Amino acid sequence: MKNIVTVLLIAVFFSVPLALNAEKGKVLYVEGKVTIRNNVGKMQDARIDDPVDAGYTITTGRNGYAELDKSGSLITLDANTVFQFLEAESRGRKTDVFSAVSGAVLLKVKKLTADESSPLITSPSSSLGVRGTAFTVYAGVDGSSVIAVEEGSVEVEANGVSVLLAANEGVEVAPGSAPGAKFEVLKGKIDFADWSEKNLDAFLSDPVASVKRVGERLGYFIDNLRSTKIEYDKNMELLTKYRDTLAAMEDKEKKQAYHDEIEFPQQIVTSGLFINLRYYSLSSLSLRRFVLGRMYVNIKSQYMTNLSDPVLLYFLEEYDKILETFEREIIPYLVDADF
Amino acid sequence: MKHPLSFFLILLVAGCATFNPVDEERGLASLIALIDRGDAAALAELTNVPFLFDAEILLVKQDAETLWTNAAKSGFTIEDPRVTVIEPADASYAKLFSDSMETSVFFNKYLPKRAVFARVESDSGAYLFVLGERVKGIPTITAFKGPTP
Repeated sequence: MKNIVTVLLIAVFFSVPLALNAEKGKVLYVEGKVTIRNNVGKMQDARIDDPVDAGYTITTGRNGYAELDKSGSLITLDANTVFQFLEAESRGRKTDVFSAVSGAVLLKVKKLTADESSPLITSPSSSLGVRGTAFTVYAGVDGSSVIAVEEGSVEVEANGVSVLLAANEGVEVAPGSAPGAKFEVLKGKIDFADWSEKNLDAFLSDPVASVKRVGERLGYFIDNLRSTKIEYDKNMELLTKYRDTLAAMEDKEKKQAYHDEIEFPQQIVTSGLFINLRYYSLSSLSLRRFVLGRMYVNIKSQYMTNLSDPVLLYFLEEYDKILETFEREIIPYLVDADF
Repeated sequence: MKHPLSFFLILLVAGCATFNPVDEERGLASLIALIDRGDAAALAELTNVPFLFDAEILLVKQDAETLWTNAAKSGFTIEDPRVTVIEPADASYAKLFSDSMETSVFFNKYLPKRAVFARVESDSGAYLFVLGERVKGIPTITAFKGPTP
């Protein structure tokens, strides 16, 4: 199981890239402490014009602030924020995934032409569909998020339920739960620091419930990972069969036609499934690192002088279950560079 | 290269010179004093990122601040510390922290040069440290685990 991803990487090595909707992005502006961790795990202080791409994580410190551009969308990170660029496959295209992991992220997503696909916006608790819009995602310590729309509309999906938000509307979503009731958002009136503090208090008042919700959210990723892996295996088998057939063909014209009509389209489908396997495994890692890990730090450090407190023990029981699941289900899809 | 044995002996002596257990122990004592004083700001400053806390990899400085601030608020101290092990650390020390692949990768990727491992026994249990370069005589921290029974 440890080398699933290695096998997958080899399997798609000869595949062609999908039609690329995403463009490389860059850092437009930074203030204070802003760190970039690239897709091979190298960390450095962010500077203006630094490139950003899928697999990059941008973190702002206590006084940090950053503005990023990716595929024409403007992404603004407030202080104490973690933001990731991922990618997924949708309808035969690579699609940008903008993941607001924690803190406050303002997104201005450009209006798209018919040939372009919308970026997928995610928080630890939800996925957002957007169309030429400006909105903010606030993500708290327990993985809950608030989405507040300034312009345009945003479709918020969580736990199989969708809510459409118009301008000046917002919604809160807890991990593993459907979106809550919509509420009115007055421009500039949401105080993230205040929400974040309440979110932390709510987590500390019932950490066991919060950690269980993280387990449910991880379960969602695992379900998707498993079903995608089944599809991937089927399609990889087909691709291998087509490649064998292609290799055995002698007539150049027939060979070219077979490649164009049969083998190449199959490569596209298989590559797309591989990208989605990576998306679900990296999203799980992000949930484990930035939500579950933070919960652990918060709780353990508060109980350092009382390790037999039942709250800590119940929390650790759930935490250990999640780690065991993560190790078994997700780790085989990750490589050293992901950590 | 005319005298390869001499060359390796020089390297060996140079390597030994970088690790002085008495100095390391003195630095660790200063670090523990900061913990006992509850100086969360100084501890956060000395915490390298990425940082390993038990089996958790912390990638964000804010999380290190949370760790030391909460620990200080809870009145956490390492009472009557006894350093039972202090020695140069390498990736094989990962297993002392956790058996997970993540911890193993952390030790392989993020262990500082001349990392030092220390085990400290105290009245409240045992603590494991991986220490890095010193800042004004006090070592930076790359990993911390404890208390363990």
